[in-house]
Amino acid sequence: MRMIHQLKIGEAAPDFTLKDAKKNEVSLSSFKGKQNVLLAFFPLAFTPV
Amino acid sequence: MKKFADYNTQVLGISTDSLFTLAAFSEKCGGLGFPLLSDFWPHGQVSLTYGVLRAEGFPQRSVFIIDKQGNLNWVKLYELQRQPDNEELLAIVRKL
Repeated sequence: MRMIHQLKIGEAAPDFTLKDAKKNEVSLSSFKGKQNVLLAFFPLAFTPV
Repeated sequence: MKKFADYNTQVLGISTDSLFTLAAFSEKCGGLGFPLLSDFWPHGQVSLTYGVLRAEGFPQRSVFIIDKQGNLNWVKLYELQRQPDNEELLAIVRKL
C-alpha cells in the first residue's frame, strides 16, 4: 500500500471542489465558519472492498 | 446521519468512482442522506492530496474530521473491509 501522509492535525485541510452524484459542485471551503465536515473516503462503490 | 447534523457536522462521502456510478450506488442504498463526491478526474487528485490514494487507483477507507475553522482535527485509516464506527466519530464531533 502506498501512503503519503503529509497532512497535520491542527493545520488547514486542503480545499477541493468536486461534483456530487447530483452534479452539484461541493467545495470544502463552503463549510468554513459554518459547519464541521466529516470526509469519508471509501474504496469502490458496489464492491466489498 | 441526522445525528451528525445534530452536532453541526456535514458528512461527505468521496471515492474515485464516476458521477454515474455514485448516483446508481446512492440510489441502490436507498438514498444515503449525504452527498457522494466523485474524485474521478483528474483521477484521485483529492485522495492523493489527502494521502490516501492507493496504488490500485482508489482511496484507502479513511475518515478526516475538519472543524468549522477548516482545520484538520482528527484522522483515521481503516482496513479495507472495516467500516468506521459511527459512535466513535460522533464522540469526536460532539467535542468540536
